[in-house]
Amino acid sequence: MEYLLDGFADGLIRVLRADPEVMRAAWVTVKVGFWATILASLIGLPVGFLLATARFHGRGFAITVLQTSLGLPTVVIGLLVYGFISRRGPLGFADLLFTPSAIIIGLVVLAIPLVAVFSMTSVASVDDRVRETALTLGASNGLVAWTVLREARFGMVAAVLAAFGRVSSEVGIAMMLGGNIEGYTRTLTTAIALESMKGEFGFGIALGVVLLAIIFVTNFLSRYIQRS
Amino acid sequence: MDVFFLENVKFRYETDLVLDIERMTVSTGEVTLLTGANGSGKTTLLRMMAGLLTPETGIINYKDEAIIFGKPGLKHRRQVTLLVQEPYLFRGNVLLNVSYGPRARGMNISQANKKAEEAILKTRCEGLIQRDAAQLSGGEKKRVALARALAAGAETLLLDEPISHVDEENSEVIVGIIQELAASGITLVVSTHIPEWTKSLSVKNVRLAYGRVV
Repeated sequence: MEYLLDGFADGLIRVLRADPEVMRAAWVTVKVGFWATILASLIGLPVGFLLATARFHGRGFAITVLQTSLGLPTVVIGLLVYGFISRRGPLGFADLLFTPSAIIIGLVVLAIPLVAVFSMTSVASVDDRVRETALTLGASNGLVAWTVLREARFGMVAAVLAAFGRVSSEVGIAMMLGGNIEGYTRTLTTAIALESMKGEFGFGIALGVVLLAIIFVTNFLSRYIQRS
Repeated sequence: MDVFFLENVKFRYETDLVLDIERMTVSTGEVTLLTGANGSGKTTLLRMMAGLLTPETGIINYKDEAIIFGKPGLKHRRQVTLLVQEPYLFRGNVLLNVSYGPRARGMNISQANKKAEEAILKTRCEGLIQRDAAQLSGGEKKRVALARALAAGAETLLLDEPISHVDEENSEVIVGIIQELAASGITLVVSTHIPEWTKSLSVKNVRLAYGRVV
């Protein structure tokens, strides 16, 4: 018990002192999480909108694939992306392995299904009368789509924030593709894994507190937006 | 001149034939009253005239041109506006809702707001202009939706049960506006299952039963 309490105390002191190693890992986490969320949103939001509004052959299959992808283990994503970007892989020439870009690619793959499924649900739950009201008020096709999007905007923003929360707390992809290089590709989660294995429980706690704070703020924003 | 001309129009929901109109016309500047019990096909007919529902068979012409249904029928949707029985107000305030139609027609914000304010005055909604649409009562929502339909500037208005689920005060205001619109010469097609409130209007009655004109 004393070991645990000492660990928590050490962790809190490191957080309060803004330990440089903790802050560097936090910065890398926020940076890769931010870019991965932006890129995943650029792909996932239109895909979600299309799946919710368009009727085409193979739509049901596409939805099933996306929903299945939500449960894809992160180490499997890490492994697949590793295969592509390692020296012998088709993208090996780009020398991406063990860089923040590699982590971002893996996290984008992880977040796309999440953004797409959440935004699809959000758009699909928009009242049918929105589209008809826009049509009967003389809106062009583009404005009709924009009006539906506008009505679903809180759900869409919540989808983006949920994706950010998910990619920030991910460990398998960051470990496999980033290589856990201090100050470069070491994220909060990979640092926690490393430090706890070294027996640095307090350091692990400090990293965990910062990670939880980031996820808490993200979820708080998401709830605030949904409730408003 | 006939603005609407319908012939042999049929529509089914799955296998049920809910509309079977042999012939019907609506003339310019006329108030056409669609009456009939609930489920007689009034709403289906109005939705078709608005271009939102495609008939299974038959002809629906507006000003001698066949209506193009759905999204491609932009020209028709800018000439004819439907106010549904339970209107939906977009997220945002009343002004944003009422200015939607003018903005959809390419007006800039200040022109659209001016147009919206005129319609808001006509429908006695001036006290609601900055209110959040989600916070309005059922009757207020209907008045705002009517203002929005007016601001859109369509030459023909289709009103589906305009005073149903509306309290007496809002109902009186809406009836007054419909009387003013009728006097102004706008073409109106109004459905109702309680026709008593239309006694003061000079109307052409079209009675529907089981989807047919009787």
